[in-house]
Amino acid sequence: MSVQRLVDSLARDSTSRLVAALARRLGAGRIAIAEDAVQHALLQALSSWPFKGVPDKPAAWLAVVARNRALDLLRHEARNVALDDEAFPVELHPPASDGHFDRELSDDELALLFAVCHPALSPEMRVTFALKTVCGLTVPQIASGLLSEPTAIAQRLVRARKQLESAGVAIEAPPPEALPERAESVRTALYLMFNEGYSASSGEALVQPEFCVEAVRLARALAQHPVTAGPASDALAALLALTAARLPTRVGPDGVAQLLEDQPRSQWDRGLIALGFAHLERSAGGEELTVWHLRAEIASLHAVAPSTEATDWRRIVDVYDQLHALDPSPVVELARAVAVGRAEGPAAGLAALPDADGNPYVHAARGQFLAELGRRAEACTHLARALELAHTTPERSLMARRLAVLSS
Amino acid sequence: MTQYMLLLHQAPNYNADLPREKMLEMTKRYMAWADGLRQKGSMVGGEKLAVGGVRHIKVKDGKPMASDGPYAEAKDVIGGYFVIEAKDAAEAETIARDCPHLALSGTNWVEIRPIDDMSQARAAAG
Repeated sequence: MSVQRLVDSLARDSTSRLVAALARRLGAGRIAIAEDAVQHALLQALSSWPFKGVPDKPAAWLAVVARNRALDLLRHEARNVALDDEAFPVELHPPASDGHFDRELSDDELALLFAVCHPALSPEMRVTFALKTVCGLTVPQIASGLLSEPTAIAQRLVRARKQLESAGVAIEAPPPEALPERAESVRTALYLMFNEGYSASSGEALVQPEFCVEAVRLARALAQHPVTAGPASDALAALLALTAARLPTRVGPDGVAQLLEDQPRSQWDRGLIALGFAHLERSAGGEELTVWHLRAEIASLHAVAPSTEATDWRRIVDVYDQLHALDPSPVVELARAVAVGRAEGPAAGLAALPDADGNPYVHAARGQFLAELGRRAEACTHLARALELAHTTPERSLMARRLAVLSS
Repeated sequence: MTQYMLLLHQAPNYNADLPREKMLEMTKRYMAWADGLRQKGSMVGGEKLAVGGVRHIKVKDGKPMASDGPYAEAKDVIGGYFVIEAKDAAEAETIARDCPHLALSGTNWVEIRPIDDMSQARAAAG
C-alpha cells in the first residue's frame, strides 16, 4: 500500500472503529474523551511514523496509544473507571457473551446506543450518530446504508453534535422509561450495522462477520430486555439471525461472491436458523405489523426453502409489496423485481426493475433477466456496467465470471 | 559509505496548531521521503524529539547541575533527527535538500553532521 493511501485510510477508517470501541468501553457520556484520545493517537502516528517507519500493525498501534491517552484523560479528570487491558483488548474482537439484564440496561453497548439515540435529535440524525459513534461505521459506509451522500452524512453529524451541545444534552445511559421512544432508532441502527457486515459498501471483502455478530448479539439483547422486548424487537432479532445464517455461503471457497441459487444450503447455520424462528414465533404476539416483521418473513421464506426453485416467490412478492407500502425505497423495488422475475418469469422481472443507473445490483439483475430472455448483447452491456460499479472484490469477480460465460 | 546525521532545526512550537488536513499533508510528504530512502537502503533511522521535558546538565563548581532546557526566548530547537547513509558529502547534501522539513516553514533548516567513523582509529590501535 502506498504511503499516501495508508495515511488516508487510517485517518478515515481506523478512527471510526477506534472511537466506537473506546466509547463502548468508557461508557455513555465519554464519547468526547474517546474522540480526543483517538485524535491524539492519530497525531502521534502522523508525527512519529515518518521518523520510525510504519509499525507492523498500524491499527493495533493506534488502539494502544488511544487507550493509553484515554486512561490519561480519565485520570486527569479524577474519574474511576475500570479500564484495564482485559476490559479493552488491543485486538478489537466483539465480546462473545450475551448480556444479562435488569430494568436498567446493563449491556454497555446497548446502553450507549440508547444514549446516543437522544430525542433531541431527529430519527435520521439519531441513526447516523449511533452508526458513527457506537457501531463504528465510516461516513461513506453510513452514506451507503442510508442511500445518501458522504458530504450530507458528514454535515448531519456536525449538526447532530451542535444540536446536542446547544440543547445542553448529556450523553448518558437513559432511565428505563426513556427507552421505548428510542427503541425504533436503535433497531434501525442495528439493521444498518448488520447490512454493512453482510454486504460491504466497498473494499476487498464482501462480508465483515464481526459487524453481523455484534448486531445479532445486540438485537437479541434488545429482544430479551424487559423494557425493550416486544414484537418489533423480536422481529428484528429473527431477521438478523435468519439472514446471518447465510453468511458462510455468501462467498465461495474461491473468493467469488455466490448468488442465492448457487449457495450450498447445507452450509447455512442451523443454530442461527433455529434461533431466528424462535424469535419469529415470539414476534407474532403484537397487533402492529412492522417493517421488521415483513423483512423477517422474507428471510424465513428463504430459510425454509430447500432450493431457489422450491422457494415461495409469490408469497415473497406479496410481502415486498407490503414492505414497499410501509417503507418505499429503491432497494425494496429491486428485491421485489427479482422476486417477480422468479415468480412470473424474466420478462415480468425486467418490467418491474427500477431505473437506477448508478446501482450495480440493478444492472446485474437486468443483465440476468436479459440473458434468460436470450438477449445476450444487451445482457453483456448491463453486466459490464455492473462489473464497473461493483462495490467489492468478490462481487467484481462474480460479474467478471458471468460476463465471461455469457460472451463465450 | 558514511553515515550522516540530519538535525532538523525549527522555531519552537511552529507546528503545534496545524489543522488536521495540513498535518496529514505534511505526514504524507515526510513518509514518502523517508520511505524512498528506506527502500534505497539509505535510511538508518530517526526519532522525533518531544517538545517539552528538556533538561540541561552542566558542571558548576565541579558538580553536575540540572536546569530546564530551552528558555522561552529560544529561537531554535531541534525537532528531530534522521541518520542516513551516503557515499559522500555531496550525496548527503542532495538527500537533505529534499527533506520536507525545509518546505514546511521558512525558518526550518537542516544541519548535516557526518558521523565519525572510528573503525580506522580502532584498527590503528590494534
